[in-house]
Amino acid sequence: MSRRRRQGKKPPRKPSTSPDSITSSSPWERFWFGPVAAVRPYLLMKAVLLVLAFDVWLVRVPKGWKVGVDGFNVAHFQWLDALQPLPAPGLYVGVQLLVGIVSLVCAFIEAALWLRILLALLHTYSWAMSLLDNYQHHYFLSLVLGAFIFFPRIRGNDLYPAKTDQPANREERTNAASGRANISSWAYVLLGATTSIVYFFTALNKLEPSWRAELIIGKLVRDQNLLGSVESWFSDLGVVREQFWQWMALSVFTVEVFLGASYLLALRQDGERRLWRSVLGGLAFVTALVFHGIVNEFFLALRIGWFSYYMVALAGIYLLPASMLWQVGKMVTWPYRRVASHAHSLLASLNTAPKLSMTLTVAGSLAMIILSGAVGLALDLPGASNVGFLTAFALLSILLFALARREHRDAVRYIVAAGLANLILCLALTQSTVRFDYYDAVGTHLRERKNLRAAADAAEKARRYLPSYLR
Amino acid sequence: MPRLSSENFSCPPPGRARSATKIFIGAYLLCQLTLPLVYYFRDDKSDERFAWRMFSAVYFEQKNCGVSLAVWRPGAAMRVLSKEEVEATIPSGWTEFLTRDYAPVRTKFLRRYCETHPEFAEVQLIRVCKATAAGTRSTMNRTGLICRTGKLIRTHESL
Repeated sequence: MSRRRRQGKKPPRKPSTSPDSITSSSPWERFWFGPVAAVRPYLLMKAVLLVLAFDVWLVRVPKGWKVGVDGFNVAHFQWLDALQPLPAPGLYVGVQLLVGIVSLVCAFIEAALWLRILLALLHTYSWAMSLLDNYQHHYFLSLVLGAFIFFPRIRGNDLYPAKTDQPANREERTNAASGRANISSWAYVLLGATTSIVYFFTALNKLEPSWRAELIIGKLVRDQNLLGSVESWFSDLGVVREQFWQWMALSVFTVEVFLGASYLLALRQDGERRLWRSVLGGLAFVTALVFHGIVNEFFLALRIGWFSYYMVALAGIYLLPASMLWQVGKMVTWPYRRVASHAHSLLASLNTAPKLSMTLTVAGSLAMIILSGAVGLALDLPGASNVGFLTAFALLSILLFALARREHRDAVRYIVAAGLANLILCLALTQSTVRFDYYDAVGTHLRERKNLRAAADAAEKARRYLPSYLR
Repeated sequence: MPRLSSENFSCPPPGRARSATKIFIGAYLLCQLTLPLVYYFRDDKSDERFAWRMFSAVYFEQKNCGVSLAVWRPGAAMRVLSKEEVEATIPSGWTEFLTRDYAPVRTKFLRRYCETHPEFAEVQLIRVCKATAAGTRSTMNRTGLICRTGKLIRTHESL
């Protein structure tokens, strides 16, 4: 064992190649390992993880009552069916709550590799355990979280260093001065390519005869009573009905192909800055915003969970020019950087009194651990108390391990982040209709199954958990 | 404080690490391209998972389908269950998957029905889909399970 390791210090990371040196490599290498504005992977992780936490809590938890009910379940994969016991609502809801907590922890701090792997696995299991959770974007999110495992670890303070911190070397000084650091991130590029593949296959589906013959698009639009006046306006111009709907179907196909191609082109925009790339990226972002955010979500009300929000976030981060994202990043990271800076100063001042520092750390950590356990108990949802105990146990283990190693700074970050995540979980579930929706659906199901006493209990719980602003 | 220097790029250095990363990228892309493509080459079109076919024609055609259940006691005639009986029999949330003709759900459901109703010799899931466009015909799929042997029989006919 090396002397450095014996002293408890991490060995210096092996310097890897700078993205600029990649320019001399093959086009294939330049594509995957070329420069990417550091703010892109940073913002992408934060945005997706924040949306994911609320998605699983607010959208998926209320549907958990169905899983394993009536003693029947089919998993997404046969091997999983053979491995897992019959899932129950407690397992499904518990896993969703846990996914949200871990997701927020990863969003709040520069999470370690093991936590990112845990999040990707937990999320994948959260939908794979039952075919009842069959949204295709849940599978897509597993691909996103899988890519996050290999994303570079970036902190807000790395991107926007405080003025008082003088960069150590020339490269850092240049980056800090320009405020435009580029990194190499093949996982970020791979995720962009994956998104592009998704768009191309979605477009391929629109080439089928039923789509071109207005059967599908016509049904989607007519169900919402939309475009009727536009159709009659075109009809007055002499455009026959079939022709009109073929144009509509073709427009969906064109938009999806355009977005797929834009993602691929945008992946090189930080390496080869060209005006046309920025213009194309901006245009593609507006297209994605209109397509996902306005048409799909509001006009057609396609009821596909929060898929549109994820896709708009992805489009913004992949397609918009880096200069714009640096400004956005500066604004959204400002509160975090302020808090981190104060915490840093506080820890520095406490370092002068090690005993007091340790006492405060342990007391604060224990308070957070108790809070995590209490939230699980207070939520009154199947699986929630188990999640509370599990979280508290995991945090306590982290604390004890850190104390044994006499290195508690990292542990405190995890404990504070998890405590905060639990607090947000508690607020999200108590101030929304999640628990009402859950028990209302349970009550309806039990009434259908003629289990009237249990149905009445569920209805009573539903009434109890209806938020006060809806009473 | 760590900064954005060459130390935290996620670009593997030239050599084995970079080669391994390139192989991983290639394999991953191959999977991402093949998995949805497989759908277009297989016979069973009902299962569109992992094929990125949101709001497909198959999805909308399946919305025009309904399922019913027929059972046989040994030595007796077939009995088609009433709508209420079918609703009470199919576990909550799974009707959609039976109308969409998902093979794993169909098979598991029939097997479970045989296990919980040992008095029946055979159970049959009947799926009828209405014609969706001019020139097309309604169709009927029957998937029967002989409870004693576990043999599955599947027929398809146009109405």
